[in-house]
Amino acid sequence: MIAIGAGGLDIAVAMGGEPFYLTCPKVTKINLKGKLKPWVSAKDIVLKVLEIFTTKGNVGTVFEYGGEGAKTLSVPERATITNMGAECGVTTSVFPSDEITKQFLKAQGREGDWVEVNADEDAEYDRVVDIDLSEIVPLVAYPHSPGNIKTVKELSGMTVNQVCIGSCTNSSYKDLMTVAKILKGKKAHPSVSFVISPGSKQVLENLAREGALADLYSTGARITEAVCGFCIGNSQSPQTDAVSIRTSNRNFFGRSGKSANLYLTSPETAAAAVITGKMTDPRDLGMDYPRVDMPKKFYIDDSMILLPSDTPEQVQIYRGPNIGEPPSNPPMPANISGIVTIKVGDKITTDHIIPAGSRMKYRSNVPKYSEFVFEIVDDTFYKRAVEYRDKGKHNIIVGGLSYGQGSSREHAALCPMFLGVKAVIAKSFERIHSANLINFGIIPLTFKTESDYEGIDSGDEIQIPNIRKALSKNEPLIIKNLTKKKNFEVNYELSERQRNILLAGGMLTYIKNK
Amino acid sequence: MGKSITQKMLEEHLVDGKFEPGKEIAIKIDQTLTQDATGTMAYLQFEAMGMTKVKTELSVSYIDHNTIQVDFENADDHRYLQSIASKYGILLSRAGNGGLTVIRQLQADWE
Repeated sequence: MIAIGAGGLDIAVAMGGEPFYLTCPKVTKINLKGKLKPWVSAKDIVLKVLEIFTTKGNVGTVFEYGGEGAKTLSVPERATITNMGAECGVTTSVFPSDEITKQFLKAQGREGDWVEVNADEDAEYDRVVDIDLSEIVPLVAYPHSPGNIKTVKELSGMTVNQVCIGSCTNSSYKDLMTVAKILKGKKAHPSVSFVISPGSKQVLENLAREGALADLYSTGARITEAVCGFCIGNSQSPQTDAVSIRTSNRNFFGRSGKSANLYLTSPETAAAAVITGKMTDPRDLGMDYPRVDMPKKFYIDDSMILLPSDTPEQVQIYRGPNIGEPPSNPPMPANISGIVTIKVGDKITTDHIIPAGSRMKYRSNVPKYSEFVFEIVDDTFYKRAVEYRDKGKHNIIVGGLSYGQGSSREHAALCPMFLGVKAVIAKSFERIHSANLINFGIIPLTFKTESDYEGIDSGDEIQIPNIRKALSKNEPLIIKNLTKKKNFEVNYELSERQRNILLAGGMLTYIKNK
Repeated sequence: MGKSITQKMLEEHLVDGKFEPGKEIAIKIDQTLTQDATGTMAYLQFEAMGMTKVKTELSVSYIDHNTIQVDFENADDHRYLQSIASKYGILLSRAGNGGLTVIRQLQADWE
């Protein structure tokens, strides 16, 4: 099985039985050799991957792991690594399905679902990169990007205000058992607020039944529900200017309160900071590394998963006052004529475009949620965008490299659509966000000459003449900057299907018209 | 020439195009996973398309993001998701069960 992140509308369409469209990826093999040293774990491997590949330039690639080193990694360790491939911008990451996968499924009572999957011996790859696991040391991603990598030693001694372990990454039984063993009999340092978000009820229940939960409580852990919680800044935002060490996958600016400095590490490094109150290389704790084996059998109770009704026609849909209608969008106009409402720099994440955290409860209320678009970059954006839209002008966003990286959240396209944004012109786009823009009728355009980015400013009056005609015929597009009295060319590499979605004004209308 | 895992998986699901990096392809989707923060809108859109039942082999709706219930909004969304799942043939993982995260290691990444 391969799993690919997608925007909500693409998933809605897939649930309706339509295929999922994507760019056929290039494949990079990451060949793992050797074995991890004590106190170094899967998070350090993926931080190494981020150091090698960075968060840019990997769109349209799959990371395929293999080699002898892969056989030393359990399923939750592999999941930690594949989870964070998204931070490099890849389409997805895969490991072989082998004897280790089989043992894991067996422990989950699902041995019958196991299928062996391996690459052929003579498989060819676009690129092969070797990583020797025995050479990896504890690493950390420092603010405000998962691609900012240093060794833990380099930051050793820095005072820590908060440690958060868990979320979707490093919240498995193996992770939390390891943390419990490191912390058994110890207390959280007075400077540290210590938070744990277990990955699932199953993990929590297994920890409880083995007594590890009591050890974690005894240390002073604030144990949350099994949720992503602190990772998206949806609770547990730390104090002003805090240093927060987290095992989650993202540390973007503004993601957990406006001033927090988020550092991403392994659970081992995070646990070391709980004890010392400082960034600490866990190898300096002077302890033996507690090796945790995967259980032969998990305690399983799936009663929190509800099955659908046998009589669906009798089920009434519950709609509270916060549930709005999905907004519609008119077809692409003959010409785009409007204003550069905002110009932003490189690596603008979907957290910059539409914040989560305290605003997230408006996800199903688009008019309300739209008030917060670009809130942390420029809190006057909303007012301007509405003003231009209501005067009949189109809003245009200008961006730098890797525009729209980070979370898949389609509201980063849906809310701009609601505000009358018709085009984003950037140096490059992240994959899911680019797909989301198209789904909501906003055309992603890239500068043909990157330096043209310098010649365009917020407030410039812009025209894109004959955009409908150009899209229908797949012809080049010229941007007319009326303010600067300068024209420049932009690129779009879109399939016929994508161009038709844009012409229709977005996927919803496109599907309805089909 | 031998094949990578990626190529094998995608080719098994191809409905349009062929395995040629850089070109658009269409694949059949066996399973979908959603979470409540982006899923609520996805199901509103699913409804707006006039669908009556999911056509995947398995679709699961997880509630593991918007669980802070300071006012009514998130709890209302949870109820909406529960009723949608029941009506359209989707499994619902209730708030408190965790989720997308580690349950049975269905790997996904998404907020």
